[in-house]
Amino acid sequence: MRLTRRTMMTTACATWAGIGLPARAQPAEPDADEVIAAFIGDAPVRSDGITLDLPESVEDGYRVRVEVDAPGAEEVLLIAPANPVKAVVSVQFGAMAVTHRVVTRIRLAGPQQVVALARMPDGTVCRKTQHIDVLIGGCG
Amino acid sequence: MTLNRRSVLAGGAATLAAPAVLAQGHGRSRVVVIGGGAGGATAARYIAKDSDGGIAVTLVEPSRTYATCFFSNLYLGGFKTLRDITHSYGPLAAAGVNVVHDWAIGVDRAARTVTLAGGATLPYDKLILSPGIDFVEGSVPGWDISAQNAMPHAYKAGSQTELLKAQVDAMPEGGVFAMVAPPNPYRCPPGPYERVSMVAHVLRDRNPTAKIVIADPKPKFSKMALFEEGWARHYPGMIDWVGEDFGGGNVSVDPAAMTLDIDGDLLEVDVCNVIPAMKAGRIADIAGVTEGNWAPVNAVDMSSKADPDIYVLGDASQQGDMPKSGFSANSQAKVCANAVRAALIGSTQFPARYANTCWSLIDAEDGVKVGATYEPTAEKIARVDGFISQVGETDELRRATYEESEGWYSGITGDMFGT
Amino acid sequence: MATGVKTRIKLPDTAGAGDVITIKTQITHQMETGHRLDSAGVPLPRSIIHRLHCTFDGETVVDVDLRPGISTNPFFEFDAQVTRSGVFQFAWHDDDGAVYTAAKAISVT
Ligand SMILES: Cc1cc2nc3c(=O)[nH]c(=O)nc-3n(C[C@H](O)[C@H](O)[C@H](O)COP(=O)(O)OP(=O)(O)OC[C@H]3O[C@@H](n4cnc5c(N)ncnc54)[C@H](O)[C@@H]3O)c2cc1C
Repeated sequence: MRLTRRTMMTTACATWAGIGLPARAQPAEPDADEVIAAFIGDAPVRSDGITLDLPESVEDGYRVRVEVDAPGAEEVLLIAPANPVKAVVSVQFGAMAVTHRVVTRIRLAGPQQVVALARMPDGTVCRKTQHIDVLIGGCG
Repeated sequence: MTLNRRSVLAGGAATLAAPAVLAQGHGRSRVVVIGGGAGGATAARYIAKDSDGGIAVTLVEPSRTYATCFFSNLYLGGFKTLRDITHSYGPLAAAGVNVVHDWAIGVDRAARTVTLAGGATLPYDKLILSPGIDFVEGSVPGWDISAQNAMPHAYKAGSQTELLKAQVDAMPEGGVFAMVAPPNPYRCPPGPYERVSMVAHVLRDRNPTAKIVIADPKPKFSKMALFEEGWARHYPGMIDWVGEDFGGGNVSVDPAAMTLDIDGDLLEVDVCNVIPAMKAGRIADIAGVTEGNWAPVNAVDMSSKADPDIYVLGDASQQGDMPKSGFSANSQAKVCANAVRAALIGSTQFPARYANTCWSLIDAEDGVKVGATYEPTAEKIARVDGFISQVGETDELRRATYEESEGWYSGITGDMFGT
Repeated sequence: MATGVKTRIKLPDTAGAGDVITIKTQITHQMETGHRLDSAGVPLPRSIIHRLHCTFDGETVVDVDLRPGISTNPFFEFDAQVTRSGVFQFAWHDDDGAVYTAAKAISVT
């Protein structure tokens, strides 16, 4: 598909409302950088140690499969910076959750860079970012 | 063979039609259209209408009437009668299309002829195939076409739709309606879910403790947000959708025992609507224009990638981004008709533009839609721009959307049949 | 309480000691974001499942903090290593105070 600026704009608005997210900003919500900074604190950040699996592009952002894999992690956090509520989900792993893997289905308000963070037992934070295109749904 | 009066009469009708075709074609360009549905009827009518007698058009279609799949769910929901959605080929014949009620069983591309089950051979300069879909054998273990009375598909409209409606009406109190939904790609992406809505509408009023289970191989489906919101609002707790995450694609059925196995869980069901995986109608395969399950076409004019004298329309074609819908088939047919006239009688060929809208009814007066416009690129028909209904729309808007769909229905059937 | 809530759990009935098994969970829930208006233009209050806690005989397997960005009918899949027979317990916490629970035993040999 060819994405012109006009398509992109219609797409973003339509999908925004189509999945039940508002067209107006919620001033009380912290922005994505704040959410990310709060999780990282002053821990050193690495770009290895975590994989974030989501499609490159989806027709609509109603139900997008995401898999986060962070071997050894204590906790993972998923952030969708273009959503009205940036933090989407966080998962704490108990001792039995030996793979430190989680799959879920999320809402996305538009095309964006999804961020996954993992807190490791050695005090570091692993970080992975992936872009996803969210197009308007056709009949398919 | 003994000939009784009935077979003489039937045979007579079939053979009478054929010589007439050949005679009519003499000296003029000849177009044969196989399949009198959304794509074929439209193409036949537009070519005949706009060529001023310059092209002899023959439409081959076994059925004497055409029951539209579109709005057949509304018949299940009690909003339309079967009569409302059944159309005659009379007006097409009156408009100069030679309508032959027979099956096409062979295509000789070298000789450019089509063979009919009744024995006739039709020569063509251009052949248009719009045969709709057939089912992929073995796609739902335990089901084959011989099981269609116990577990109807109702994905070709008519007696199957009637049967499914009768089964829903006869469900015991608190019974289970199950649907096996198809994998992509298939005709009418929102169709199975509109159907579930319509069945739920009937059950809510007559059998409110009944349940609906959908086994679906897909992780999500068309207009899912709108359907799920509508189901929660109109039919809370009635509909259980089992998608890819919970093995919705790992199913088998036993039509004799009326059971459905979803990923190892055995369910006793009262009605089981099995919608198998789909492929292009068989004649496309026989003509040798398919690759895998579908027939690839050029985006500029719907001509087959395998043969410049054959065009494939509608569900059977593999064209790119357009969903398999009646709206799409009708839109493609007009582009094709224009290209065929240009090729045969030198009329002006306009650049192709395509469009689609799929409306669905969730409950009485709660209509939603999704649509887009498309343009040809070198590789495919590509989506340019689109729109979709929003969750939380006002009742007025939803009613207006439904009314718009009724207008579309009379518009497209008028466009197909010339009524 | 939300109406029509149904939970679904998928995990094997049996496993070998030390096996890593996959657990799939889902609950039917609208996950109302709190940012939408109803058809009369009145804001719909947020009403979501905000926590899923999975335990095995009392020990945490995963503890999930959900926000409105989780889709309708929240789905989670994760893994657990099992060393003995026991019961997996699942608790979904709704904004309205309701807690929905489900349990499934596994026999480990
Ligand atoms: C439940 C349901 C709901 C739907 N709702 C909508 C909707 O709301 N809007 C929408 O746009 N679309 C809808 N559709 C989809 C729509 O019906 C199809 O996409 C459309 O009919 C495709 O047109 P077609 O010309 O490709 O095939 P068809 O319309 O199926 O026509 C094919 C014709 O070819 C004939 N044929 C097949 N083989 C041969 C042969 N060998 N020789 C001669 N004739 C042959 C058949 O008898 C048939 O009449 C719905 C479909 C279903 C099942």
